[in-house]
Amino acid sequence: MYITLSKNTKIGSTLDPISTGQKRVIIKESEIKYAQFLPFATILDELALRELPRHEAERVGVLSVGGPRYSDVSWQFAKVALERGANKVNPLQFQHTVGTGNPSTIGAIVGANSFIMTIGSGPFAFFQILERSEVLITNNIVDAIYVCASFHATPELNKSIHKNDLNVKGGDNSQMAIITSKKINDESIKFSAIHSIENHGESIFLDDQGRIENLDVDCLNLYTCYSCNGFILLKNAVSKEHRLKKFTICSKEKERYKINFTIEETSNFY
Amino acid sequence: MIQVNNIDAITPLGNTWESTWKALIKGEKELSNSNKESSYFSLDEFVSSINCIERSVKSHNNAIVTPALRLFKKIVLTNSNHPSYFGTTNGDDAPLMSLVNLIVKGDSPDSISSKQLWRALLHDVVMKHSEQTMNITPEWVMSACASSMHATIFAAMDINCGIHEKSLVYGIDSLSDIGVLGFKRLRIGGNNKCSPMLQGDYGMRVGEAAAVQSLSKNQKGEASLVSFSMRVDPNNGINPEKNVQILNDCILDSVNKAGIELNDIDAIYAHGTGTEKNDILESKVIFMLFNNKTPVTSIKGSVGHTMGAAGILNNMCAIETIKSRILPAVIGTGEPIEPISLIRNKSIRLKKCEYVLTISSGFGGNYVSCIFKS
Repeated sequence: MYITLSKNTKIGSTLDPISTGQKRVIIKESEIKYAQFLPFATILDELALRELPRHEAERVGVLSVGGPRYSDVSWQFAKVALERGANKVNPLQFQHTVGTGNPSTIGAIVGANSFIMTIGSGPFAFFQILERSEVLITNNIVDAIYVCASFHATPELNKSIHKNDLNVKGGDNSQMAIITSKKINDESIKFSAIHSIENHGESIFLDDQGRIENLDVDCLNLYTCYSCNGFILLKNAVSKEHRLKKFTICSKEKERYKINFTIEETSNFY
Repeated sequence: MIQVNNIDAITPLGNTWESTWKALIKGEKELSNSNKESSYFSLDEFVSSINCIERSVKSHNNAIVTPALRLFKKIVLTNSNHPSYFGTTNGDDAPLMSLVNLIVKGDSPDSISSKQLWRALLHDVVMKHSEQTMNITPEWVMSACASSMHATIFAAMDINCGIHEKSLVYGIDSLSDIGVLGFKRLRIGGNNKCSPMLQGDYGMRVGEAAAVQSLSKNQKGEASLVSFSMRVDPNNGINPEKNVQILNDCILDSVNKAGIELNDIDAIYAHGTGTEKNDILESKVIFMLFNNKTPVTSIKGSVGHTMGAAGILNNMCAIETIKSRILPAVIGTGEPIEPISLIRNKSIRLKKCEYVLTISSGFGGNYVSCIFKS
């Protein structure tokens, strides 16, 4: 997989993070055990996993995207430490454990026995885990890999994002797939449906082919666009020209994806 | 076989890999005051002054500098465009702490700058720097304390597949409020003691380090990576007997893949954190497989637990042992948990050293083992 990206990307967003009230409802209705101790991104992944058909394999691994998906947990940990003191923090919420906490939670459900880990830290984390899956399967390390991508941001950070006109908002969603083939392509990846969350009446929906039905590229936030839905989104971007405003090339070369982004350079925070 | 070369490291024992190794074989213990340049803090000192923001985030020429970046800058190979793999626990959370601190102190979230926010969100200060200095986007691998071992394995696999000819593997982790507090609250760090594989005085000392190795297929190396294996038990800790079985399988798998017998292994670098659960498990498995015939050591009594860098430091030590036949001693007090051949008090010189086994494990239940050959 060859990926290049121009610096200083900027993608518009209309997705808002879900409210605390909505979150409570989701957690309650999910009936996930010990949900109150889990990062919200993990809850979203667990919900997405329910929509994914189980795959029987002898050797199973789990890869999860890195980046800011655990910021709610780190934020909470840091806030408690600074406000209430070091003895009041929840040890399960510190970065060194939450990094592997998500794939570990998913790994426990699917019976992972080869590895669980988080890969990547930038917008292309999801592509990296697809690429890494290919190599792991090619090297006969594992038979099936569950890949997880979810995002959840904190209200405080979203406020700052908004104020600074980054035009990026932290929506909440999750996507999961099982990789079983040496060649990663459209047919070899089984995606679960995106777990859609109501956001002021706007939701993401996929049709039964995994295509986004009701959302324009411009309406996705940075991490929804790249880390979470990037693969599906780009697949669809090829076929629907009106969504290609900011993606110039997306083609396949020798069974690999070559994706070139030329995105308007409108921000300069680097 | 993958050829491996040690390049450099900065640890609580020394500001270069050479000085670190010399200190290890002398049996020195990390000295927080002697290594100020590495910005190492003792745990107690660190926890007593939880507000480490001044230490953590500074701006220099308009760029944000974090402790992890300071470490990284010491070892980074500038102008190198080799594919790179970074093993870390994602502990570069200083910008996030900085941000939270501002808000807790009463600043409005609206007053936070875009740059501060971006850094806090992405934990990517080191990544950004690496992209700029090496002109390449590294692959980040986070599997807690096994991170840099997994990074090494990924680099080796990519070379085996013909994707790359040569690559660099980095292990990097800095002390941070979040990390230190977390370990302390888990009650596995905080008493500032660390006696790996020894009973009675359990505890873990958190450290920080950065290290880099090069891997290649054709270039002559100091040693070669002949095999590796990885296993996981996501329910880590719930069933100790199952964990024994999993680590046992992991080691046996790497030995089988290397095409050798257990008694061909000349030395073992255990993960040996000093914590009760890890060390009892590792000691049991090593005793089951190797009895008391193979010399075993752990460097964490000297260097501390350097988290994401721990795996690569074990691998670097393995290569030095292959080169010099010297195996450093375990620093700590107490009797061995199992009657294994644990090297105590003083480094030893092995009669022969052809194969060295390294072991690593991490939160989430990952176990990794590698075998290096002369």
